[in-house]
Amino acid sequence: MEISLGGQGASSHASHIDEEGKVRVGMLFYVVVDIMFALFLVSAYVFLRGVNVNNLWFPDGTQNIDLTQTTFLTGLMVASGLCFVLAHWAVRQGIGGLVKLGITLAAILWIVTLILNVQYMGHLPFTQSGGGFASMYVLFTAYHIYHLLLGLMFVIGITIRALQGRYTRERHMGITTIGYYWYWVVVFGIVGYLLPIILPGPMH
Amino acid sequence: MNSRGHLRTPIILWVVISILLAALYYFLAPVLAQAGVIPPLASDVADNAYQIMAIFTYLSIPVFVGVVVFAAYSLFTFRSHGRPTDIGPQIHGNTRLLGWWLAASFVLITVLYVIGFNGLAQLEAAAPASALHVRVTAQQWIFNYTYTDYNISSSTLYLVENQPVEFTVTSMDVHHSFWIPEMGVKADAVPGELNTFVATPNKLGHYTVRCMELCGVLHSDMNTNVVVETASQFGTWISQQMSVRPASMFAAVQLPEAALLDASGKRS
Amino acid sequence: MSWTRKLVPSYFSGAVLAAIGFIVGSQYVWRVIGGANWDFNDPGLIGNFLEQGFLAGFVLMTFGWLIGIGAFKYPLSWMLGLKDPDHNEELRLAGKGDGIIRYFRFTTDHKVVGIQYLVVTMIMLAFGGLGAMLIRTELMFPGAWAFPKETYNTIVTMHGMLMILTVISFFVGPFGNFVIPIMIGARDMAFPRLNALSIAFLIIAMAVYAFIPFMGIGDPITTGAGVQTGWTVYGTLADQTGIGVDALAMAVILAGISSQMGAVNLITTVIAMRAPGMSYTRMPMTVWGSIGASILAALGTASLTVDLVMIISDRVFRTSFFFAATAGDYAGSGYVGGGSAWLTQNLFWFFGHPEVYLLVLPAFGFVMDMASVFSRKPLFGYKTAILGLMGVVVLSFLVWMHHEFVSGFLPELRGFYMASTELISVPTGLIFLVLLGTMWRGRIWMTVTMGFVFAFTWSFLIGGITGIYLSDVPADVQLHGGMFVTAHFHYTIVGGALMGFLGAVYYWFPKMTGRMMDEKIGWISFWGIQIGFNGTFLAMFYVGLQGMPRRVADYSPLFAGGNLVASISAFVLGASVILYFYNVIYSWKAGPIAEANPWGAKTLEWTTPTPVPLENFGEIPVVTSGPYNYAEPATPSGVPARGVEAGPAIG
Repeated sequence: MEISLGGQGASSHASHIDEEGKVRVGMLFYVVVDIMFALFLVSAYVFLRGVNVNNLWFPDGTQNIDLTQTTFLTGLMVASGLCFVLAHWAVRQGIGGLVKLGITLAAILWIVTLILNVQYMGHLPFTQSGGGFASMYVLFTAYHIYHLLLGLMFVIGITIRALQGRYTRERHMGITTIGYYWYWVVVFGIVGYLLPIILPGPMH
Repeated sequence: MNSRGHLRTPIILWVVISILLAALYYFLAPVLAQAGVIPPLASDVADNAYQIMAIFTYLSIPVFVGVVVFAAYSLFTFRSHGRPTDIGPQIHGNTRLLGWWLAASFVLITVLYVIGFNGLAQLEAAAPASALHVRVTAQQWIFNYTYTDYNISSSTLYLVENQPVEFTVTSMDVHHSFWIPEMGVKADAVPGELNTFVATPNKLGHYTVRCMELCGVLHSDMNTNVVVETASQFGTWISQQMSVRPASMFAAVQLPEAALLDASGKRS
Repeated sequence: MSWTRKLVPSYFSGAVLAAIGFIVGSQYVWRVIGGANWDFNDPGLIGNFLEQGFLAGFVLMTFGWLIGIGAFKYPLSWMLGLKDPDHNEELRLAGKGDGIIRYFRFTTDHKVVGIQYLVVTMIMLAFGGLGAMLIRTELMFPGAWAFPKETYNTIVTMHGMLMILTVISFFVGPFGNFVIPIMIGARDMAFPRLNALSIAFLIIAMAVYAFIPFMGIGDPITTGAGVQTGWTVYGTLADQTGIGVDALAMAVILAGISSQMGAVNLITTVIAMRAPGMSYTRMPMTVWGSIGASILAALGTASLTVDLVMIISDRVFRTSFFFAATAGDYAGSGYVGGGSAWLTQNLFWFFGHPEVYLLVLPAFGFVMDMASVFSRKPLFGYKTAILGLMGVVVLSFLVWMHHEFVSGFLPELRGFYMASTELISVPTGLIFLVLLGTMWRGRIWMTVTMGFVFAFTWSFLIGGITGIYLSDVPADVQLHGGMFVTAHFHYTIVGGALMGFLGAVYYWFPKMTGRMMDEKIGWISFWGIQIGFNGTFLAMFYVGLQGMPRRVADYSPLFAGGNLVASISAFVLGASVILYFYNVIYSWKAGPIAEANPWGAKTLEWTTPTPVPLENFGEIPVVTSGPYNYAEPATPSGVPARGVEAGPAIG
C-alpha cells in the first residue's frame, strides 16, 4: 500500500475524522440493533398468534386491555416526540428559547410516560402467566419501560445541556443523534399500542 | 514456463484423479455398505436418501479434487525457499475465468436443485389409503406407539413389510426427535404439534429407534426396537394385543392427545 | 497513595464490587423478599426465589463490576452536563504513561483492548478445549464410563456455547480491535469507551458463565447441577432443566451485548475513521470480512437475546412463551399455555445460522490477506472477493429454516430453504476462486501462517461439500442431528474460523508483541493440529454415517471403533493446541525480536513502529493505492515512503 505523509491524497477527504458523522453512524447502528430486537418481539407475537388459532392464545377468564389507558399513554409518548421535533427544528433555526422549552417539555412528558407506564404495568387486568398473549403483552410493556429507563440518561443529559445553552445552530449533533433514539422509542410505543388492536386475541 | 504450460499438469492430474476416485467409489461403495459404513437400508425413504448422497458424492469428487490439486500444485511448484526476493505476476483478476467459474457453479447448483426437488417430491408424497397409521408419542425418555387403526398401543414398534406407514409424531414434554436410522425416518417430536412422516419399510428385520434431539439426562438411553414383520405375523400380533389390552392403558396414552386435537381447530 | 490511584478504578476494584453486588442481590431476594420461609418449590409463589436470587445477583454483579472499573464515570458526567474531557484526559484514560496496569483497567486504547481480548479469548478457548477433551474422554468407550450423564450433558452445553462465544469474540476482539484501526489509518476505534466497555462485558459474561456447573447442587427439583440443553437451549427443555440455564442465558445475553457493542463500534470505525485516500476499494480483505461479521452480529444477535429473555421469564416469571399445550396439561404448574415450541427453534436458528457465517467471515478475510502476502501477488479479483463476502452476508439471513427440515414447521417452505442454502455455495465458491487464483504462480513462502491458509482451504472445502449433503432435504432427513452434522460444522468452524484465527495470531504476533513466534514449535503444533483435527472429525463423519446421534453420553457398541479413533485424535489435537499456546507464551517472553515488517506486507499496520505508539500514527498517512501493491518499492521499516505517485487502481 502506498502512502504519503502530509501530501494531498487522491481522496477528497476534507478532514481526517468526521467527528459528527461518527456519532451519527454509531447512534444509527445502535438504533438498528434495538430495532432488530423489537422486530423479533413483533415476529414472536405474530408467530404465536399464527400458530394458536383458538382459545390457547388468550385463555378464558382474562380481561382485555383497557384501550383508553393505552391510547392516553401512547398519546403522551407521541406528544413527547413532537416536542422533540419542535426543539430539533428550533435548534436548526437557531431559536434558543424554543429549544430549551421543547426539550424540557419533551423530557417532562417522557418521565411522566415512564411513571404512568410502570403504574399501568402494575395494574394490568392479567398477569404474565395468563397465556401466550398475556406473556407477549407484558414483555412488550416491559421492553417499552426498559427503553424509557435507558433513555432517562439521554433525557436528563440533553435537558441539562439544552438549559446550559450548549446546543447552537452549528453544533447540535447531540440533539440529532439522541433524536434517532427518541423517535424510535415513540415508534415502538405506537407499534406496541397498535399490535393488539390489529391482531387481537380472540374475544369471548 | 508460461501460464498455459503450468495449467496442463494440474488439469491432467485433476481429470485423472477424479476419474480414479469416482471409479474407486463406484466399486468400493457397495463393499463399504456391506461392511457397515452405512446402516442396512430398510425403506424406500432411506433408499432415496442414500441414492441422493451417492449422486452428490460423484458430483463433489471433481470439485474437491480440483481445489486440492490446484492448491497442492501451487504449493509444490511455486514455492519459494525462504523469504521471496521477487514478486509474483501482478494479476488482478480474470473476468473470463470468473465467468466460467460462476457458470460452473450455477450449473452444479441447478443439478442439485433438480435432484433435491425430485427427492423432496418423493419425500412429501401423501400416504396412500392402505397406509398403517401410527401415532408416536415421545416423552422423557420413552416412545409410545398407538395404532390408531386398531386402537392399541405398544412400547415396541411393529411394522409390516411393504405396507406404507404414516407416523404422526408428537411429544408430551420437551423436544424429541423420532429417528429410525435404517429407514431414514426422522421427525421431530414437538410438544403441542403434530409432525407426520410417511415411509414404506421394505426389509424384514429388527431395527432401532433413536432419539435425535437432546432431551435431558437420559437422552442417550432413549432407544427402542422396531420389528418389521410379514403381514400375517403382524396380524397375529395385533389380534393378540387386542385381546389382552386393558381398557385403561389406551386411555392413559390417548388423553392428552385428544385434548390437544380438540383444542386446535386446524387439526383433525 | 499512588498505588490506590492505580488500583481504583481497575479490574481489581471491579471484581470486589462485582462480588459485593452478587452477594447483595442474591441475599436480598433470598433473605429479605423470600423471608424466613422461602422454599424451593412453592407453587403459590410466582417464580422461584432461588432463581430470582441468582438473577438479581447476576444483574447487580454486572453493575458492581461496571461501577468498579469506572465505566459509568463518563456517562454520568455527560448526563450532568459537566465539562467534556479534554485531549489529555482522553490520553490518560488510554493508559498514557501507565505500565502493565493499563492491561488491568478500563483502558480505551484499542491496542490494549486488543491484547485484553486476545488473552481473554485464549483463556476461553482453553476452557472450551478442555470441555472438548472431557467429551471425547466420555465418548472414548461406550457406556458413559467417565462421568454421569447429567455431567456429560452439562459439559456438552458449556463446550458448545463457550466455543461459539469465543469464536464470535475473535473478530471484534484481538484483530478487529488491534489491527483494523491501524489498517485503515485511524488513531483509535470510533468509540474508545464503548470498546473498553465491550471487553468489560465479555469478562463479566464469562464470570457469570463460570457459575453454570455449580448452580443447582442440592436443588430438590432437578436431579443434576448445570444445564442439560446443549448449546441450542431449546426453550422446552431449558424451561424444565436445572437452574444452571439461568446463568447460561444471563452470560450469553451479556456476551451478546458485548459483541453488538463491538460490531457497532467496528462498523462505525470503518465508515467514519478511514485515513484520507483509504477508499472502500483500498481496504484490505480483513476489514471487509470483519465488516461482514459485524453486520451479522448487529442484526442477528438480538434474536438469540429475545429467545434467552423468554427462557428466563418462562422459568422465573411463569410466562408461557414455549408452552404450547392446553391448560389441562400443566395443571398445578402455574403455566397456562398458548406459546409455541416452534418459536424457540425459529428464534434460535434465526440467530444461529447467520452466526456461523459470522464466525467464518473474518477468517475468510484473514486468509485472503495472508495468501496474498505470502504469495507476493495481489488478490485475484478484489471485487470478486467482496462480492463473495457480501453475498454470504445477505444469503445467510435467508437460510435458517434448514435447521428445521424435520421439525414439522411449515414443511411447504423446505424447498425454498433448500434452494437458498445451496445458493450460498456460489459466493463461498468465489472465495475459493480468489484463494486459488491468488496463490497461482505466486512466490509462495511457506511460513506457519501460510500452512494455516492451506489448512483452511482443505478443511473448509470438506466442510462446504458436506454442507451440500445437509442442505438437501431427503439427505438431511437422514443425517440431521447426527454426528455427521457435528463433524460438518466442526470442519467449518474449527477448520475454517479457528485455522484462520491461529494463522492470524501467528501473522500479527510480531505487530502485537514485537517478537516472532517460534517457527519450529509452530510447525510441530501445526502438523499435530492437522492430524488430530482431521482424524477426529473424519472419524466423526464415519460414525455419523453409521447412524450415531449427537450429544449422547452413551452409544451402541456399533460405533465404538470410530469413536475410539476420534477420541485418540482429539487428544492429539488437544496436545498440539497446548503446544501452540506454549509457543504463544514462550515467544511472547523470549521470542526473537521482530523487524518492523517481517512478512513484507503492504498494509498500513506494518508501517507503524513496534510497539505501536499511543494514537498509532505520528501523522495520519495519506493512502494512494491498494493494499496488495507488491510491485512498488519496499517501504523502509517504520518510515513510510513519501510523495509516491498514485498507483494503479485495484481491479
